[in-house]
Amino acid sequence: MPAVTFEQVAEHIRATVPVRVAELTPETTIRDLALDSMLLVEMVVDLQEEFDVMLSQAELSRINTLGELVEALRSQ
Amino acid sequence: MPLITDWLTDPIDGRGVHLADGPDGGWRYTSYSQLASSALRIAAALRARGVTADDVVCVGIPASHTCLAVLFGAWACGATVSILPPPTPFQPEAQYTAHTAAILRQAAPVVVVTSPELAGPVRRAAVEAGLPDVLWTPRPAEEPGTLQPPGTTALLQFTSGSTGVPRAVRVTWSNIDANLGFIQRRVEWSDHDGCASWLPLHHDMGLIGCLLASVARQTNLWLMRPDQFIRDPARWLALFAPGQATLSAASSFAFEYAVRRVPQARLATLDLSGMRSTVVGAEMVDATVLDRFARHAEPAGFTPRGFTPAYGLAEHTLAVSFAAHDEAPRMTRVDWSGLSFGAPAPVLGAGRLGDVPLEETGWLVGHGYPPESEGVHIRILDDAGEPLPVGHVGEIAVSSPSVAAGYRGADHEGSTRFVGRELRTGDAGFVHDGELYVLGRMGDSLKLRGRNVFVEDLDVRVAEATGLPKSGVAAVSMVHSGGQGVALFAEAKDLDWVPRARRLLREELGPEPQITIIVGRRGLVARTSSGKPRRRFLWQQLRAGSLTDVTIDPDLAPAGTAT
Repeated sequence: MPAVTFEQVAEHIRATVPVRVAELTPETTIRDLALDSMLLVEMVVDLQEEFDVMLSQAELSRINTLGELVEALRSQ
Repeated sequence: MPLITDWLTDPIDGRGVHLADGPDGGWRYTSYSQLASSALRIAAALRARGVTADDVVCVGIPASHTCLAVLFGAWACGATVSILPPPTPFQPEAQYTAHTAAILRQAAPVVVVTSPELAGPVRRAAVEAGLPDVLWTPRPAEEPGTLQPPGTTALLQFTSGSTGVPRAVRVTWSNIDANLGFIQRRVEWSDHDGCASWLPLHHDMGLIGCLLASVARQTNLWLMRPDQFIRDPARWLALFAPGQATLSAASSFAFEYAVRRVPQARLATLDLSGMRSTVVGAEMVDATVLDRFARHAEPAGFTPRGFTPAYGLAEHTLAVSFAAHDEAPRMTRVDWSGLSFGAPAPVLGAGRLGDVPLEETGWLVGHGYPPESEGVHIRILDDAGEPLPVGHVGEIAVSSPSVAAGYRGADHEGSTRFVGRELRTGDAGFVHDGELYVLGRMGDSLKLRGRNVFVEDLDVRVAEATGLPKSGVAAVSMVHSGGQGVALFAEAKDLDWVPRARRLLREELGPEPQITIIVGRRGLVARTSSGKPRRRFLWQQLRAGSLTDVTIDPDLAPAGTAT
């Protein structure tokens, strides 16, 4: 399977959850997305299904930025 | 008095709990006999660890057979249960540990039971709270224990609040008995009913309204975890085919989400005609969301009669008032610009959900009214605590056998408070045409997806993030026709900090609530003689348009668009 790109992830996030940030970059933090816990669960579930990976709570708790999220999705 | 443990010695045959974590994404069935056996063996193990009546047992286990066995095992010891919320995705572990440690310090448990999924962070929280020796991984004893007489408090229900000291509601055994009876009579819960729930067990509606109501009544329960519902909301809806679940409880969010994620083609393959009553509560019930779902799910046999809007709060164990369970919800339309505390509610129209188009804003869903025989007495009070005439907007106050015993933990300056045996809810509402209408929190907190957000916490965070003195900022929660919002009042000379404050509030509140920032000179943030912000006064001033010499930075971008 080809490597997950940042653009794919960003596009997928935009398409699924209401994000109030103009531009998503690898430096955008998860907190910047300003999603409540239900929407964060929704985003994680969507990304896991789209890219066919499973991220544990421990892995998620170490992710601060979208760049790190892409790394985590890629590393599996 | 009937107890939530009575069934343990005489579980009913042929019924039980269907858990969503079965093999291949299926259901795993545990009969009430099996559950009773596990629970009594856990009870014996807990007794061996010295657990007795009114000792606190904290439980941090995702919904599973083990989790249920531990909950009822602890109750079989007569102990007080407190359920630890799990971490949210992306929550830094240090933050989760600190919050859980604060809960553990308040709860002062004799045992903290966890399973491998949460053992790491909960262990670190217990160490941080100075309780390293109370951790226990559940291991049933060989022999079942015997039922012990209960203590006074059955449940410590923590309410949210991200900073400061967490606060728990003390729910007694008799509170639970009273509220379960009330719930079951209002929805006419019978032996043939089954309940389908995806609500978290650390939340009062999931724990009391779904789990305890089902288990104590010994009727079938289908139990999903919230993440399982998010992954596949159609799995929840599929449970309402005839012959399975008939009852449920959810917030408006569940229906908004189902419309968004379950295409009509998929819905058309489902049969929702078995849904007799889904209690809708936990946050402001959104008429437009319910209407959209009812239309969306019509091909699957759903009608608005399936909705039972209800009002409740943890301080009243759970439920305060239900709409009639066998008719489409009643609604009134109010003029939001004319709503004023202490004055008659400006009612513009009335109708039933499904019968009237909802293009115009301002529709509120009725929550019924408890009949005299239930012993739930509601009063609508003015600012001075005096009763207002029928139809006036005021604070909802309740007295009944479900009013909890009080709080455990630091005195929060919350507006929900116990005055004698009466609960002052901190929620505004009015009674119209025999129905209770709830306008929600005014001033000091918001309820978002069942989670309480205390604006006091927001004051602290905004001051930290902006460098403004804490004495010069005050956040005020608002309700408006489009939903909920926060107004931040700040005394400042410049506006450089406004984007930082807005960013922080958005992070704390999520994408939906409206955020308005009002900047003015010293004295804008009116305070009481003891230095507390007068939030309701600020709210009234903003609503009445009587603020002068201020800069108002409104919320321009709705969720989903770029700012």
